[in-house]
Amino acid sequence: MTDDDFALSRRSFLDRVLVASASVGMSVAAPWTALAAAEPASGPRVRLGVIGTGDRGRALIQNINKTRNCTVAALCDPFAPHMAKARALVPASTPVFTDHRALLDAKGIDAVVIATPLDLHARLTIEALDAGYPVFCEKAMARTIADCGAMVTRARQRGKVLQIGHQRLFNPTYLNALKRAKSGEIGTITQIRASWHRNRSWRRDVPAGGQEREINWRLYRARSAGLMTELATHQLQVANWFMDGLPTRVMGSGSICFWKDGREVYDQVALIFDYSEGRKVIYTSMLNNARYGCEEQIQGSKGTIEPELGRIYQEVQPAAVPALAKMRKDVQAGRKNTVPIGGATWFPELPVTTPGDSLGWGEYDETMLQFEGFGEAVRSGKEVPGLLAQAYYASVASLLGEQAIDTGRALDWPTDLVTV
Amino acid sequence: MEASVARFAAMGTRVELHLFGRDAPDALAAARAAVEAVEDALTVRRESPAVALNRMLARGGEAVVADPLLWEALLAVDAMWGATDGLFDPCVGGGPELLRGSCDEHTLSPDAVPRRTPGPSWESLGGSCEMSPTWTPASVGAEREGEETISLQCVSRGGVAVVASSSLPPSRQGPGLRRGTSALEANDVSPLSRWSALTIDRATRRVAAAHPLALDFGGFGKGYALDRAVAALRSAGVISAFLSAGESSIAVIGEHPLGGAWPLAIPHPEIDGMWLSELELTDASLSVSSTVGAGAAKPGRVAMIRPIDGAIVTRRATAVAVAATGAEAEALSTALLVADASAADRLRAAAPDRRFLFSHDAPTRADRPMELTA
Repeated sequence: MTDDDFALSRRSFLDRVLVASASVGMSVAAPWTALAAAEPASGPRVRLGVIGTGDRGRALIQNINKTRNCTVAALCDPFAPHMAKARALVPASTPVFTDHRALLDAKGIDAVVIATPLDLHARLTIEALDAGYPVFCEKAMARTIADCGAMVTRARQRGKVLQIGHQRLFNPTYLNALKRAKSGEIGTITQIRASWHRNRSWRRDVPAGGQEREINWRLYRARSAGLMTELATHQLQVANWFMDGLPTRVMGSGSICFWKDGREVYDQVALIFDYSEGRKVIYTSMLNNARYGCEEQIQGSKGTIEPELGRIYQEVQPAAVPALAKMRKDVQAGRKNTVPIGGATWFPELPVTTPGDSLGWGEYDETMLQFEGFGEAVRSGKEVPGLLAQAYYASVASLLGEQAIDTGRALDWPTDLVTV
Repeated sequence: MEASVARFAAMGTRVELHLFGRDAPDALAAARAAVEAVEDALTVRRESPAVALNRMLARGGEAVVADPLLWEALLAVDAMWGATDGLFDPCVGGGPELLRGSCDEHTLSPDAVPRRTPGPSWESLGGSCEMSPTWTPASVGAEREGEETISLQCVSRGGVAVVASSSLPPSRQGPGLRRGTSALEANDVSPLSRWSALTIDRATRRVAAAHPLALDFGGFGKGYALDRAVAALRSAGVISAFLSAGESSIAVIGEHPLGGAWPLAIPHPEIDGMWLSELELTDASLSVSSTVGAGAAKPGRVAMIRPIDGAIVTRRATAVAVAATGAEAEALSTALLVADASAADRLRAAAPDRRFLFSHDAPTRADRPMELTA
């Protein structure tokens, strides 16, 4: 892609974000879009120090490189193989560190990006905030609900920007889906069935010099809530967004059902999140069947939206009764025939396979847009509105779900959360 | 779709309205609105006046019915309940979930509780009915003598006939009730939680339940909705129309567009191409109820229960009723289906050319079911 091509597709992408977010209710539901889609102000790029250069960290670096207002100014990772791969993505002169304290102390950066294992998020975020830096942290926020709250509180205390990575909030397909849902196109949304199903172990080979719990940190409870924090968080954010509210209660079940390889986190979870007025989010995730993949089936009385597939489906209207269709033809042809009718009808309630309509708008890496928004937030000292609340509540929902599974009890939504 | 046809989902089924003679989109729209208004009033699948009433009845309480459609439906049911000697009864009992007092839609779903018989009629109800009924409940004329297993006794309670049977100890029975057998207890449904437990004060529109119960208008609602649609079409000047709700509830207006009655055939519920009966209708309604076939095979469908003794209807049969109104037809076809042999004979005898019961049970050593046509 040439720079011109990139600029064109970028502008087109941003236009779509703006179009999708410009309607009644959207300024409340997605207040960040107008700001994020605006052209970045001119001036020096925001210098970002990236802590954590594993797969996700390197994906973030690549997106930062696409932005018009940010640059990677420092890297930090104690694991050399990861650092080596990351260095290939940035100028050779980029400072590198193995200790995050050294990065924070070295200056030469304007903000910090954290892409470490989950259990480190809270501590590193708070240290970076204390060091005076705005922070972009990958989701989920933290390993515990208390730590999630502590991150918010510390950001407020320090008066620094805290932004959490939830790229769907910037995805034009999702924004358009939300716009169409808010316009009433699929009726009252009463249930969202979300799933993230994979057929792979989630286990990574440990390279020479690596440690199992550093590479496969997702599989160990001290470091991660597994499927709940690494996958469900995304979709619970989407659920809260489309439900325009927060869960009131969650119940769930989980098991290590298939990958009995010493892991400590569930490889299979099923949860029900209650929302007000009887609405439900039903969530499942598993690691040994990928047929249904990753999707949120947003179901209203008039239709369904599947944003990952980018489709919207109207409820199917009943087909004509054959005997009555024939009756009409007979009448038009001047024939008076007996109408065989009167049997109670029932048709197998099989899944509807209508193709639906496209939500429109192709792929674009919305993660880049998050960083442009973050860059502007760092410049102005003002958070992109709405993002932190979305992230906080999504993380709380995922961690509360883990607790519900662990305890085998239905748990009410916490009443002692911090105010975002 | 042609301007003279409306097809839509309502009352939990597929509704088709066919007008002949002229396009009348306004009439169709009015008829559709009439059907949807009935659905809004009677549904137990979402919040509705019926659900609000059920909340009170589930506590054994009372309520004033303000919704005119629900009120008319209640009066119509009351008439048909009496006309069928309680064989038609839309009560679904007061199971434990209803007794909690939170009678939301899932607890009232027909899939969630044993289904009783639903159905009604208007004219005999006096006064406020806009329908055009010509049949009177008295014409049903079922006798109660000779019942062997069904215990019935009529008493007067606030001007409302009370008919009930019970397997409860005498100390728990109401006045005048005699003991009988009931399968309802196995389903956590009180044998007293039926229409006989209701008191309807027509002057104040107050409805009270002596025992916890809830109403599910079921198939009656389809017939009632078609009646409202028929009225709307007639008001718009329509003189020839064919209306279907789920294909088991039919209403025709006037004559066939080519003249004469509308020729209809009732398909055999299990054998393709075979008809149980041929009928000719003019300004009439038809209802078909069956314990076999595609409709009965629907997953989750609960057994038909004979309301006066709580027995589960196991007979493989199809009942057909023709009446002046859809509500009557629905009540009668259901009553025919749940009636025991003698009661069914009495119901049929009152109008042998309009009420039919086809048995699909195979006689001993028979290769296939024998059709006992009316």
